[in-house]
Amino acid sequence: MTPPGADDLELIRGTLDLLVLKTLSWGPMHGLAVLQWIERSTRQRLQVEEGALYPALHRMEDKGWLDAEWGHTDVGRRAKFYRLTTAGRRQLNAELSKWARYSEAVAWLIDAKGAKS
Amino acid sequence: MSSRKWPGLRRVFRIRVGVRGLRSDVNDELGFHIQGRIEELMANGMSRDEAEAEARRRFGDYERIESEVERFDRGANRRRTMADRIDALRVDLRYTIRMLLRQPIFAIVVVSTLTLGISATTAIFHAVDRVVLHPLPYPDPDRIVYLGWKWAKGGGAHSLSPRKFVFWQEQSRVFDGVATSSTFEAVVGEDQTGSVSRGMRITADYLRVIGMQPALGRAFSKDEFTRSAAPVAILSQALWISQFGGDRSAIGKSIRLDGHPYTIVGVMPASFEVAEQTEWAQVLLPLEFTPEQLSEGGNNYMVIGRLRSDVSRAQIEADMASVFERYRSTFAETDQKDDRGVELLTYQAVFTGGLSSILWLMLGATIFVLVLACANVTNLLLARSLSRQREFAVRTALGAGRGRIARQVVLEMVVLGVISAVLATAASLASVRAIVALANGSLLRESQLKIDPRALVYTTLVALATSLVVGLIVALVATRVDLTKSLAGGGRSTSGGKRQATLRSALVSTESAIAMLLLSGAGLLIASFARVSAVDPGFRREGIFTAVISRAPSGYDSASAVWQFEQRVLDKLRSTPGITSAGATFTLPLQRGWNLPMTVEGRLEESTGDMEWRSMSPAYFQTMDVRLIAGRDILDSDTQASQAVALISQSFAKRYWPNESPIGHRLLLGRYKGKLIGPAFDEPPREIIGVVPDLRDMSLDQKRPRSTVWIPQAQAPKALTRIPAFVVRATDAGIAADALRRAISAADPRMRAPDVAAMTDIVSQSLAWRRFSMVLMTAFALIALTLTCVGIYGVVAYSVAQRVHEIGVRMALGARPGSVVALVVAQGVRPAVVGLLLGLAGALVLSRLLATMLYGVGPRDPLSLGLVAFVLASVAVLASYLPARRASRVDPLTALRSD
Repeated sequence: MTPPGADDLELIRGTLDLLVLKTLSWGPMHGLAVLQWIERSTRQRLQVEEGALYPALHRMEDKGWLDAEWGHTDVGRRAKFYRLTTAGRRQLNAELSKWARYSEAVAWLIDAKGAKS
Repeated sequence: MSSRKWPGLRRVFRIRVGVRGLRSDVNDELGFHIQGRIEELMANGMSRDEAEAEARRRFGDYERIESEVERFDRGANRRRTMADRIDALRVDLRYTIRMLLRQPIFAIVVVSTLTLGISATTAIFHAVDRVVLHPLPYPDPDRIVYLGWKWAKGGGAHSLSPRKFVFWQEQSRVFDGVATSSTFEAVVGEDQTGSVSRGMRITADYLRVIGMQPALGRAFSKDEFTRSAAPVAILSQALWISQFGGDRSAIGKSIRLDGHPYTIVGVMPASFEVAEQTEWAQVLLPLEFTPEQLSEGGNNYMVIGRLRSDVSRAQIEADMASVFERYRSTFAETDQKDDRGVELLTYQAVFTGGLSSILWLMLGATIFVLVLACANVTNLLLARSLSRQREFAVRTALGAGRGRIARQVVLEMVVLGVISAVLATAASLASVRAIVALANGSLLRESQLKIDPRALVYTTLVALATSLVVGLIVALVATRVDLTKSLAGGGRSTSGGKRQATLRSALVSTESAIAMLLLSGAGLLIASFARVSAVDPGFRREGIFTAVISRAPSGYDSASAVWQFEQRVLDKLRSTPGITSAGATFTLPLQRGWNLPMTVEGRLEESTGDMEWRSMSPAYFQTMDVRLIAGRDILDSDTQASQAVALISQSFAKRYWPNESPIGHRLLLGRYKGKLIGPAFDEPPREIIGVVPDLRDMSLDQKRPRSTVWIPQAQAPKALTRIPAFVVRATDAGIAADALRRAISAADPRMRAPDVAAMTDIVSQSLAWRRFSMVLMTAFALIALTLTCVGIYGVVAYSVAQRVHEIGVRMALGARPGSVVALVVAQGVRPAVVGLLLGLAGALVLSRLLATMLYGVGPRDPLSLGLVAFVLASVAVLASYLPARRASRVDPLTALRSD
């Protein structure tokens, strides 16, 4: 969890939304939990500037993809929980298919043989 | 919390999320994150200090992130509030419409009152917009002026003589061009039965002055303005299409006008006919003045000029003065010393001078009517808002703020205002038609009165302004809800308090004042109209019928040909049964005669240029029922061959021969101080043979009769001869019209059918603008009176309803019905009388505006003002009496029990 190794990957621009939406698709979470989930499920390979998460969350809330609500954690601390809305779910699907097409395209390029003649 | 998840919840509890709230929220959220990280790191074995430093490092720039998040939230919050507001408005709107539907009578009364007010003002605004505010439809209209001739003793002509026109055209340095035009009618096509077109002859600079050029072909060249040049014509778009089917090859072809061929050199664009706004624009020919025309003195040509863009007002004045000096020295022998030279006039001054002041006045009147309508609606809304006090109180108790209820009231008014505006637009279309019909085509043309976007904007603004003003007044007054009182009042509605009673009285006073103001105006105009109509013009108009021939066929170039035609018609008429007598004249009464100078033989220095010339046949005076004061009428024996004679009007006789008979003295026509003004007027001296009473033959309301010289048509100089108008005295309009048509067609079958009119209609037509302003003002005054009546009735009836309990007590204690009536009537009449006096004072001040439109009554005519004051007072008493009588019938028992 701790060591940011030299092979940590910088987050590709525009993928944070996808990560957050996908994470929240599992259920309501507060910001820290979202981050921890991302770290855990990417095996700590992605380096996210933690602070940058919050503008993204608020932006998506404003766009109506997320709902936010103050609640209490298991240990009774006050925290702001985010939840995926229907619009957010739609957005997630769009992002997923965009990502699939993107990575497919990149894979094609990598697999392509050098141009002959 | 999101507005999406729980729409309206925040609104219901009126939770405001301020910036302070936002910041602490964000702080909490970010703080929670960092705190969570620290604990996590410490759980993994870091010291507190290490953990804190690591958590902050991972988090990044706290300040930046915090402000970024806040920026998002502020924007979102703003949008959410807006959405909330729109939501709230929608709810209020639904509520308003439900309330209005529940009280349809209330809504109908308010809407019809407002519609009345708004449509009246829209219709008149429309006329003002078109007639007064609308500029000339030419490019750079501000630079176009009309050249008029000014006289020293005041007044002047809106036109110039050909000689003056040419002089200014050549000498003045401040114009880009000066031009004039004349009109003609001609049969178009190969045969003489073709359609008649109306055209204009224009001088060289005409198209330059109005800023238009032919769309096809070219304008006239300089040398085409000489008599010897081959005849050329420019067609209007319409004539080009009707004659040549819009074929471009028409240029260079020939068109026949009255049988003479003209080569077509150009076609004007369609916008030309629109711009000229006249049916006299179908075909253009070059205008070149003959030497005789250039020597003649009459100011008969309307002259327009386009001012250069680089001249100042002072330069223009200096130029006009110096050209006038040169003109005086050039034509010293015929010039008249009481001239002041050329005066530059605006289009409005020339064409709509009188009308525009009437229309402004009417617009003022309609705005008063609108204010009145607003006062009534305010009253109505106030009364209703009082009966809604409990509703307001309940809503206040449930948490609605004063602003919220005020918004509701204003919104209700705006809804009513919008409905009224829509209806008013439709109604003003109809009233514009009525106005045109009333103006009888002589004052306004329908083309000038189409509903256009500007009028719609005006309607909308007026409707919104009235709704907002009324709504705000009512909202301010009605939302002062005293919770405990209203709710504790049980079933009985509250009395509304002193404040509202004062406001209602003030509204009644305002209404009465406005009604008094408009009634005074209407009263004075009605009195004037009655006096003008009763004016004795000096001839008996009943039973006289006239026939005017608009255009003569060829063959009437000589005075004798005209005279022979006239003789044939008159002979035929006189032998027709049903025609008592018949005569002819070149200029009918209420048309202009000629304005020519003359000299009394032997009294050179007393020459005058201010003399009206009219002509008549034998029996003309007999037909018109004019009795001569002295001397004899002309006879068939007064011909070209006999001694030239004239009759003069009484005022003329008094001016020159105050103490002796003018008969036998001699006049020199067309001579100023003995000098002939033009060869066309050369003739032997005329002997005065009779004196005619002064006739009001310019207009019924002319200030003083014009000095007039009457000459026999048989002896008229060629320059004054034209196809005459015929007058007959007959018992029946049908007989007269038939006889006139037959006689004219029998005398020359080629003559076009004359326009036959009854003299009573001609007289009536001459009063068109008076009738126009009188009818409009009276209509507005009556509307005002009705609204005031309704207003007073409403206020008194409402207060009776409120005071049933009190009245019951009074009656139980022995008050007689009479005293109850007096009490209630006084309540309505007192503010009405205050208003009446205010209105009277206003009328005395504002009557100056009417002064020029009055005739025979002063602007402060006590009889008219007294009469309308009486009418208004009576209406006020009546409007108060009806509810008062109901009050006096209150059964004390019922009234007291209703508590």
